[in-house]
Amino acid sequence: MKFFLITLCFVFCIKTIEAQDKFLTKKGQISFFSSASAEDIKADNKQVLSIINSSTGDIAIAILMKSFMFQKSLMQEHFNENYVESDKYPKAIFKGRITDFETISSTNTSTTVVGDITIHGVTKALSITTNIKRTNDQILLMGNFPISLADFDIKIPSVVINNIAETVDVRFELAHELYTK
Amino acid sequence: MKKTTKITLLFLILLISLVTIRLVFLYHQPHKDMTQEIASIKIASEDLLKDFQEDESLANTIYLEQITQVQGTITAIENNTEEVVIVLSEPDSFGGIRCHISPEEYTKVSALTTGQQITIKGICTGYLMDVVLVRCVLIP
Repeated sequence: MKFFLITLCFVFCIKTIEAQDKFLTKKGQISFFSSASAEDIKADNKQVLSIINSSTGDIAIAILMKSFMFQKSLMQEHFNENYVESDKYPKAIFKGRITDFETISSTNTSTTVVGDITIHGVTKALSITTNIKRTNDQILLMGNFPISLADFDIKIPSVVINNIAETVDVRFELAHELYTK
Repeated sequence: MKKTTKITLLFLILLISLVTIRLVFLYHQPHKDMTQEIASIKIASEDLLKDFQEDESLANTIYLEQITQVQGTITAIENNTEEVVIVLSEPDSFGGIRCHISPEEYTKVSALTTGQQITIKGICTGYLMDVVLVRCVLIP
């Protein structure tokens, strides 16, 4: 009985520790901007899932490509059907680590996030400088980085070469909250 | 100029202008008006979640970009940020349906409470930890 109680206590402790380890957001925001000679294009995704393991600094981000909202419906259609082929590759994924995670405090600091990003079925190593701040129940991560479309095998037809930039600027703002469930 | 050449030229000009007008209309074509669109799929929230949990790639082929009408119980209303989200799920289930509400519908959300049964129509964009519906409108 004693053994049982101790085990139970132990399991319970582990569970609470585990529960405190995760910071999560289901409504992170990622936008991208393409600035070309003919037009500027912007798309927003406000349904980004991001999880930080606060004991290791590991971070995993998942994005639904169809959740990118464009100003014009035709752009959205072309983006999904012709460029990122979101029926075939519905998600973009980033898996990595926040460096110097243990030193991060409630004042805004700059740190590097390194990992692998997968878009359009192509995986590339990525290292970006981000702004981060951490309080007891929130981790805010924000920044921006460029993505070259050619790197991810996204082909832009010559007809619209003046409408879409070869490199798009990606901005993100992820307000993780302590996951208590 | 020969008469036939004239006619051909006129015809060509007409054709080009028609194509241009069509392209301009296509370019400025608005997004679907969700209140007017008819749902192609009608389903209970737990069945929709189950379909994605059991076979995500199969569910993607069925639901992605479809106007999906979902009936379920509200377990959470998140309207503390600029985005308003209604979560439909079973009380004890892991995961649910996250319905991102269209800004035009925000005023209707204040009348809702958790535990209430509602029907919502939105565009399914896929599955993360939950099934995501965007541009949702409430169905009375």
